[in-house]
Amino acid sequence: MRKSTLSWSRSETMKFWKAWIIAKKDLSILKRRKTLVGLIMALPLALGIALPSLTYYLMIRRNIPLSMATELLASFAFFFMIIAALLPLYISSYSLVGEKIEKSLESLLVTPVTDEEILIGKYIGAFLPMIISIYLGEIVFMALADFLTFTKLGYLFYPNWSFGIAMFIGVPLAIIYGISFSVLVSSKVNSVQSAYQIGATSLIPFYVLYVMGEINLISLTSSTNILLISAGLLIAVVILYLVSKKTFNREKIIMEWK
Amino acid sequence: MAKTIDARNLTRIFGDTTAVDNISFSVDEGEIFGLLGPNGAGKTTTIRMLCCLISPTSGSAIIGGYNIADREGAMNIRRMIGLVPDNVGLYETLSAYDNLEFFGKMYELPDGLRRENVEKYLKLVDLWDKRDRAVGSFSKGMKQKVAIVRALIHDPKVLLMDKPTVNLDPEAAKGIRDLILQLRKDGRTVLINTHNLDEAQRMCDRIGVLKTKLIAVDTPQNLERAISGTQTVVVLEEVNDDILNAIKAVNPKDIKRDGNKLIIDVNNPEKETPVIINAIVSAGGKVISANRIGASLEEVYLKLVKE
Repeated sequence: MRKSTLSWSRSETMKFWKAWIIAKKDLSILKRRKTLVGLIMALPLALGIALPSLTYYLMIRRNIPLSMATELLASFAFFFMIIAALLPLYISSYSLVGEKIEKSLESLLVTPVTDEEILIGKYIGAFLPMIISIYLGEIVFMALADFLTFTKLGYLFYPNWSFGIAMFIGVPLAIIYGISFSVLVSSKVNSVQSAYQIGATSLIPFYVLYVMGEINLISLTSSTNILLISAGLLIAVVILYLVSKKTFNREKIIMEWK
Repeated sequence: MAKTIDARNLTRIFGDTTAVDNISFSVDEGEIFGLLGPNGAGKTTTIRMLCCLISPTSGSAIIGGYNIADREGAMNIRRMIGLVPDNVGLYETLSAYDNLEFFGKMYELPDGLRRENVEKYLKLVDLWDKRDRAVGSFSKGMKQKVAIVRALIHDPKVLLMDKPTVNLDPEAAKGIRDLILQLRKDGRTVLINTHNLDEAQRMCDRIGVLKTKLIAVDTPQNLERAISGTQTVVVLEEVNDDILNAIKAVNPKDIKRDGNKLIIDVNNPEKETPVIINAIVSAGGKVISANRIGASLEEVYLKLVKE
């Protein structure tokens, strides 16, 4: 008796436009979830306002030394990387578990679509709103930080190399890392709640790095370290994508998703 | 007539459970074939194997010339079939139009044809005017219609429908049945899973009774004939005690009288009915008609699945 396997879709070449159609569909659904969109947009924006305001308060009211203020400002680049890894949990957890809940995946899987097209579509659908929201928060953050600290510092702190590397390399990779992790988790669980809870463990490496930064084991303001962390994220992303692809089992999805 | 679906020894085992056990059947082009069976009989598993969602443990099926077990064949089969799953599985927050547009794109339909088909089929099911409403606001019947349109959007040769009228009110169910009959007129091959006997009888050209194994495959009429009832209706010019006593002497299971009509139930109609008719005539009775009551599809079905 032949062992039951299902890897039919893997013989077809990936059509990027199909992934884009899936992403656009996910974005259309997201647009209608106003609370979720509000949360995604509000959190980076709130950070973009709160962090410069805090720095300003410490500089003006607590008179912290300028060197400490600049160190503090520089460390916020890592904050945005943490948020970049955290927020995709909310979208990408919904994107697969939501298909389970609406039982729409069976109809999608019966179309001539490959596993890669579905996965890449899910990635793009979660990545775009994230990057827009975090870049918006970062732009507000830089503008406000410069506005509030210019008179004290005597120069514009932002933009700088460290923040640029975090913004253009670290943040996109952190988003993809968060998406990869939650796509992997959400293909194994049956509720959005479980996907959030298990997905939140993806942040542990960031917390560890943050603590290491706090006890001066590592500098999270150094461009080199941000680049190294980004490289680590890249490796994690590649591994997670390969594991997601390998474990994206149509048969299991059909039979076990209730 | 060409076989559009040809399943050979299809088997699917989940752990220790055999969901589908060595079934073979074929469906001709333009035929409506019904898979009839109780819950857990393996109907949905069979449909899922045929539309390449799950693989058979053993056996194979050819659909439109492609083998479901073959990788490239499976992709071609997906292009050729339309599935109406057990659950409608629509994106509830999207409009009916957007749902169909999305699936039309996934089936790689050119823009013009896709829009044309969305309009044509939504008009066919009377939902064109509601195309911009979110599917989540639709009734079950309307959702089911959208799910059927989704299955039709790429003009598939073969339609696989898993309980297409389940949970629908009688009017909505009739609408769906009429639509399926229309599809047969258009030359499409339809395989329907159902446990609705009436529906199977009304729509299907042939029926396969499934209970993990395929117990019987035939037209509804032949299935009824194969397992005839044991009652005979005899209409006489006049019924009197002599005639009734003559019949009772043959020891039938039961006699019911309704004016000049007698409903006589026997154990072995082939042997006993001629003897009874003979007894009636010998007692001076004038027989106007004698007809055996055929078994309904329901009786056939219940008999088959209980065996």
